[in-house]
Amino acid sequence: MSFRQVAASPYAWPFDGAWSAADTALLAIDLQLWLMRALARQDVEEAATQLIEAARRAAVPVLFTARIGLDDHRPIDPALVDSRPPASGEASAILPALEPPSTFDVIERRGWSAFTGTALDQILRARGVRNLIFCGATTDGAVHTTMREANDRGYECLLVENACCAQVAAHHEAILRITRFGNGLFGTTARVAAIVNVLEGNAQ
Amino acid sequence: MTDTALIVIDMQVDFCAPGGWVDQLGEDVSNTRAVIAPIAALLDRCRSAGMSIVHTREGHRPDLADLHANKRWRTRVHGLGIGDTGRQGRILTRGEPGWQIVPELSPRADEMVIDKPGKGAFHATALDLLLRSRGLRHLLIAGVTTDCCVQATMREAAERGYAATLLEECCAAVEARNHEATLDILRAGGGRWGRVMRSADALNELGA
Repeated sequence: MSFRQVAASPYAWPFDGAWSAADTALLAIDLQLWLMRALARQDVEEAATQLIEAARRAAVPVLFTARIGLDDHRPIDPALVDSRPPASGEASAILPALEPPSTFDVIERRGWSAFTGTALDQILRARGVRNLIFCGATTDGAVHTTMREANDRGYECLLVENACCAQVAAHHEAILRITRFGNGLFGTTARVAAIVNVLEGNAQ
Repeated sequence: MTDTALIVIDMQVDFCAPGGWVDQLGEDVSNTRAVIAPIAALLDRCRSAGMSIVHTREGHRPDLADLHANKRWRTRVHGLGIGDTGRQGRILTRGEPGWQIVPELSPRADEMVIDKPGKGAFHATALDLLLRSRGLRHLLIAGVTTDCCVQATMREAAERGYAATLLEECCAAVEARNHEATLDILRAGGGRWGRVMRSADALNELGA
């Protein structure tokens, strides 16, 4: 079953028309208990939850990422919440309301990009995924770094505006603007409602 | 300084010169042109100091085998697609006049030139191999555009364990506010992917 294009900015997603549960995945970046607690954005948690639940009902695969320790990286200034994940173990815990059915659905990452040192690309290609929907935190950190790499790899990317956030609101807004620049430098952006609308009511 | 390389990103006619791709799209190239002189001065100083120098060029094979369908579609809808013919030859296509580095910043024969099909200079290129084989671990980053390929390369460098220093007055975006916003993001949290500095400070620190 294919879905119609999602109303998005600067262009309707995906660029080439219809999409389906067979060629698409939702990437939920770092919806980790510790990080979301630190960011304290109930609105973003609720929007991401709504999106993830709609994707699950439509059988669109949902993959989570979780940042764990950075032992093999040079120290990063701890001023930003992104920079200080707790020790491995509790670190990868996802928001309980969203807990994935299998721990294999959580990609544990050590870098900023979920592609670095992980099997993410292999998993997506093995499933035939061509389109990626991004939500999570932080917009300017792991979400954008991962989306840039996905875009260079040829995935058709949709960033969900109100289901992601940054520690600094201006940085979230700047990433949305840069993503949309030049008819979509890295893809296109939409709100949760536009995607849920397509998933739930308008299957072709 | 023996472990440091200067990497100059995509100072090509298509991004920085009248008649190039950005200019043909009806956008303003004055910001991207404005960094040619500072980068020329930077190259002089780094060459005199014997620093390793890398230039990158964004471009695709003439058969476009390395061009993703969505990248081609987005640029076509924007007004002029990659691989299509413009006033300086085929847009961002290897070997064409518009794809060349602007003459003021031409690479010298002994400098590394990386041809990249993506925005990040590490994506689908030998850059990591060339840097590692030469023992280069610290990158000074300059070029265009700050919000796109410059930032992408800095994030990729940090991801691979390089120390990265963005030379702020030697980078530009088409839109100044996107340049400024990118610098804000890169500086936040003490610099999640490296440092943002003026080139004079970075070179003085290196004794270059």
